[in-house]
Amino acid sequence: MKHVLRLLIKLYPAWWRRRYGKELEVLLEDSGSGSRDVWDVFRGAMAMQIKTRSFGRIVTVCVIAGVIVAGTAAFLWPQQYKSTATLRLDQPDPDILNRVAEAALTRNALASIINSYNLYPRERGRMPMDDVIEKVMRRETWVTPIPPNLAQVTFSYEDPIQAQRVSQDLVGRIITANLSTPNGGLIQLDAPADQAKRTITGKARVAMTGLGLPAGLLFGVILALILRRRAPAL
Amino acid sequence: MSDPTLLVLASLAEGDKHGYAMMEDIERFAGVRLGPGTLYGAITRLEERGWIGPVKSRDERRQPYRITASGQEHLAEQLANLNRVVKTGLSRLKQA
Repeated sequence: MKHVLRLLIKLYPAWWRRRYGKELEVLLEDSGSGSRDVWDVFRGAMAMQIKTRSFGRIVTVCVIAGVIVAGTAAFLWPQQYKSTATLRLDQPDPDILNRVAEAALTRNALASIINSYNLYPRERGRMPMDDVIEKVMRRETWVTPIPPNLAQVTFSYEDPIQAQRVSQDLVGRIITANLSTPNGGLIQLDAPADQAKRTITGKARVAMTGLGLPAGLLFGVILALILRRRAPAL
Repeated sequence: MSDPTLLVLASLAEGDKHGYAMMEDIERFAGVRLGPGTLYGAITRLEERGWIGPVKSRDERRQPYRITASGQEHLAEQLANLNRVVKTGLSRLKQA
């Protein structure tokens, strides 16, 4: 973290670094600064650049900030794993699939899955079970028709083994619910839940980091234009 | 009171201090931890306005600062204003 903070000092204007750079460096050492001071030092550097009102420097600082923020977010973003099972529909009617999925994946069924596999321990600590089901689990569960006569049941979770187990459990419940509906027996397992795959690859994280560049550039140009228009010269 | 420049002036009113000593002193008397960027932003502004200045030190790495006469004047003025606000607020609270 010390390297990051030293790097951030370089974002201050040259005149400022000549006068206070060494002092700030010593202060960072003395105070045992860590990650909690990254934003503070970065904000200080930005404030000094804006004070100097250099168009190029403001844009450069914003571009660097954009890449740092996007990169940090991309690499701290928790990994998710998706596992998918495939169903074969004897009657390719999406309505039947929807009805059966609704009957199978009720609130009680999902609560039972959450408890059985001990899913979402953090979320359960801070929100009621209903919210965990509706706002978290349902958003990570997909039943998608694949024409002409297939459907995929996908579940996404931070643990690959749990993702695969839950996906298989969901399929089992859909098949069981299908047997007890009026048109029972129309849905069968075509392929069991596959080994869960990572949803955020290294390439995706690099691409997310790259997005920080145009975002920072755009923000920097707008900020510099606003400052140039509003502020009188020093 | 959370204005970093006022906190730095209040700290230096006690005597000369370098950055880390100011940071610790401010945390002790105000319960506020000024980040390094915030502290040096305040030091820059105060020095530009002539309210504080660097003093010579045997320690080459740590630069101590001293409050100037105009800095003391400004601090006294700001604290008097604050004092008025505090007194008014407290008396109104008693009446309520």
